[in-house]
Amino acid sequence: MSPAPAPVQAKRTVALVGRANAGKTSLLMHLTGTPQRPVNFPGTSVERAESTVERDGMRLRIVDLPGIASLTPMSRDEEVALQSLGVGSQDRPDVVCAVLDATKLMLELRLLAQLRTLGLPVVVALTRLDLAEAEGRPVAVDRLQEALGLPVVAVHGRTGAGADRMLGVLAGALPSASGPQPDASIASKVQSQDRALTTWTDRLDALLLHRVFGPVLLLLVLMFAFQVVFTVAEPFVAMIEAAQQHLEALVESMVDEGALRSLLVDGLVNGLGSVLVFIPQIALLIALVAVLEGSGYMARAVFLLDRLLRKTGLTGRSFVPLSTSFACAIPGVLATRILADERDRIATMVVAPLMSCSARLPVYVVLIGAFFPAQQAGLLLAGMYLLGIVCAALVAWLLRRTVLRGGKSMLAMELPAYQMPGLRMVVGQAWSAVGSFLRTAGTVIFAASVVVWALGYFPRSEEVATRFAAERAAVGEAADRDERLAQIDAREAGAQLEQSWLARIGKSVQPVFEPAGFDWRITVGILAAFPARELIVPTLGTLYSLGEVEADPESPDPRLRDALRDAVDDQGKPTMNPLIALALMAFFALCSQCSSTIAAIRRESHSWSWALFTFGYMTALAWLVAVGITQFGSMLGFGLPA
Amino acid sequence: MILAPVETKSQLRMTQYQDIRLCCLPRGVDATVVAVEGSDEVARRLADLGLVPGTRLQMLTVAPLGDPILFRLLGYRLALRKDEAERVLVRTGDQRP
Repeated sequence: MSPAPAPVQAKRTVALVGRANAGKTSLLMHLTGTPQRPVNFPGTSVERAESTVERDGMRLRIVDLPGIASLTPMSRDEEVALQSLGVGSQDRPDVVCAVLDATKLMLELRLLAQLRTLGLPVVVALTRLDLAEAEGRPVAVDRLQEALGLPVVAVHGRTGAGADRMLGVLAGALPSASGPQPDASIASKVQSQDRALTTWTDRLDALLLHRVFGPVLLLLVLMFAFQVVFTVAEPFVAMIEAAQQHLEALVESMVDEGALRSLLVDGLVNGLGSVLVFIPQIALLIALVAVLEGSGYMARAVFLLDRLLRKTGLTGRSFVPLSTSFACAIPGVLATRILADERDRIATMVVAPLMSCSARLPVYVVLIGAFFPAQQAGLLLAGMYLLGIVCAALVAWLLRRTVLRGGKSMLAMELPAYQMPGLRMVVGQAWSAVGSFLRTAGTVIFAASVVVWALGYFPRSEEVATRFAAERAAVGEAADRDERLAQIDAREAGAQLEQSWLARIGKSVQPVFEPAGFDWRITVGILAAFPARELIVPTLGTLYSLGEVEADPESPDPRLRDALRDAVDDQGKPTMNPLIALALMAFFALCSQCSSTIAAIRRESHSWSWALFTFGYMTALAWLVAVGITQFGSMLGFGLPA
Repeated sequence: MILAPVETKSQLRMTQYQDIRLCCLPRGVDATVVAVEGSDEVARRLADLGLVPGTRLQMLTVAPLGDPILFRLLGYRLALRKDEAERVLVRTGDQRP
C-alpha cells in the first residue's frame, strides 16, 4: 500500500522552455506520465501541450511551450511562446524549467543567460547527457549546478531517469528569481570543449548530404513514403467501406422506403463514410512526416532543397508544410508557422493546397480505372502530383516577384543529431492531425453531404410518382415481377433526380464547363465538390447509378467506373472519353475544393483576401488547364469517338 | 558597417593569420569568429546561434546546389545560407586572436 498522497495545498505553473529538439516534450511525458492535452494559447490558434501532476501537496501545472532559441522571436510560434512568459501575461508561469541540451552546452548557456532576465525562478533540466558522453564530452553536473547557483537535474530522454528528482525540485523551495547571469565560460569548466569525436551523425551525413547520393536518397525516401502510405492504408480503407455498406444494409432493413431512409442512407451514412475513408491515409502520412522530423532527416531535406525552393521564391523550410499537404492541406497550412518571414509564410500557405492531398486520390483512381489501361495508371497518377507541384512553383514564383516581393528570408538552422523518433511523439502527431481533420474538415464534409443529398432529393415530383405508380400496377403478377419492380424503382429515382434542384443547377451552370467537355452530371459533381472535393465520388455515384439505368437496363447497380465509361447523352453519344477524363483529373488536381482549407488560410493569414485569392486563382487555373487539355487534345485528334 | 577586405598579402606575412568571410572558409580549416556585420534581425539571430566573437568553427559540407553551407560550432551543426555566412568575418591560422 502506498501512502495516501498529501492533500493539495498549493498550485504552481511550470513552463518548459528550450530549443526545439531539446527534449521538452519527452520531459513533459516523463514528469507527468499522463497523456498531454493540446491547449490553445489564449486568443491564438498556436497549440501547446500541458498536463498536471501532484507532488508533496503541490499541484504542478506543466506547460510545454513551442521551442525558442532566444528571447527575440523569429516565428509566430516563438512570439506566442515568449509573450506568455512576459510580465503581465495571464499565463505567466511561477517557475521556468530551462531544458538544455548537454551536447551544445555553450550555446545553451547563452539562452539561459537570457532566461535569467525574465525575473522568474529558473531550474535547469539537462538532457542528452548520454549523447554528450558518446561524443567524448561528458558534463560534470554537480560542478555546473555550483557554477550556476541554480538547481540542475540531468534527465534521460528515453528512460526518464531523473524526472522524479526534477518533480521534487519543482515542488520544493525555488531559487531566487533574480541572480547573476551565467557566463559562457562556465561551459569550458564543466565540459571538455575539444572537437567532438566523429559520431554516427557525421557518418550518416557524409552519405545523406552527399553531392550526388544526397538528392537521390531524398527522392527515394519520398517515393518510399508515398508507397507505404498507399499500400498500408488500402486494407483500412477497404474495411471502412465495408463497414459503411453493412450500416447501409442495416438501416435499409430497419427503415421503410421514403425520404427518411434516403436521408439516412444516402445523406448521413454516405457522408460519414466519405469523412472516415480519409483517416488511414492522413494518419499514416502525418506519422511518416513525424518520423522524418523526429529522426532529424527533415532538417537535412530542408538543407538539400533550400536552394531549389528559393528559386521558386519559397524557402527550404517550406518543404515541411508542403510535404504535409500531400496528406491534407489543413495541417500543411498550420505547419507554415515554422516559417519566420511573413512573405515566405503567405506564399507557402497559398500554394500548399496545390499539393495533391489524399482527398484527390479517389477521384484519380476512379477515372484512371475507367478510362486508361492499368499499365498507364502509375504514370498518370505521378503526372497529377507533378502538375500540382509545377503549378505551385509557378504561382509562388509569380507571387514573390509581384505582391510578395522582398522580405528577409533566413535559413540559419540547426541540423540536429540523428536519433530514433519517439513512438509516442509520432502517434501523438498522427492522432492530433486526425482529430483536427475530423473537427474542421470532417464536420464540413458531413454537413455538405447532407445538403447535397437534399438538393438531389427535393423537390419530389407528384407527376413522376403517379406515372411510375401506374407502371408498377401494370406489372401485375408477372414471373419476373421483382426484377421489373426494381428496374422501375431505379428509373423513378433517375427521373426524380433529373428534375431535382441539384440537376437544375447543374444544367444551368453546365455551359461554363462545356469547353472542357463536361456534361451536366459531371458539372453537378463539380458543384457538389466545392465544399469538399471528396464529395464528387458519392455524388457521381448517385447521379450515375440512378440516371444511367435507362442506358443500360441489364445492370441496375453498376460500379461508378463502369457507369462513367458507359454514360451517354440524350442522343446516345458517349459523354466521357479518356481526354475528358484527363481534363477532369487535372481540374481536380488544381481546383480549390475544400472550404476547410480556405478557412484555415483565413485564420493563419489573418485576412480574408489571401483566403479568397487562393480560392479564386486555384479555380481559375483549374478551369483553364481543363479547357486547355480538352481543346488542345481534340485539335490533335485525341479522345474522339472511334 | 561595412568591413573592408583585409586579406592582403602584407598582413598575412606580418601576423600569420587571415581574416576571411565565413562563406569562403574551406572545408576542415579551423576558424574563429571575429565579427558579425550589422545589427539587424539577421545579426541578432546569428548571435543567438552562437556566432559571436571568439566562437570557433569549421566548415563541414556544402549542399549539392552550392548553397547553403554546413558548419560545426559549439558542439552542434548549423546550416547557413551563403548570404548569411557572408556577414560573418572569421580568422584562420591563429587560434588566439
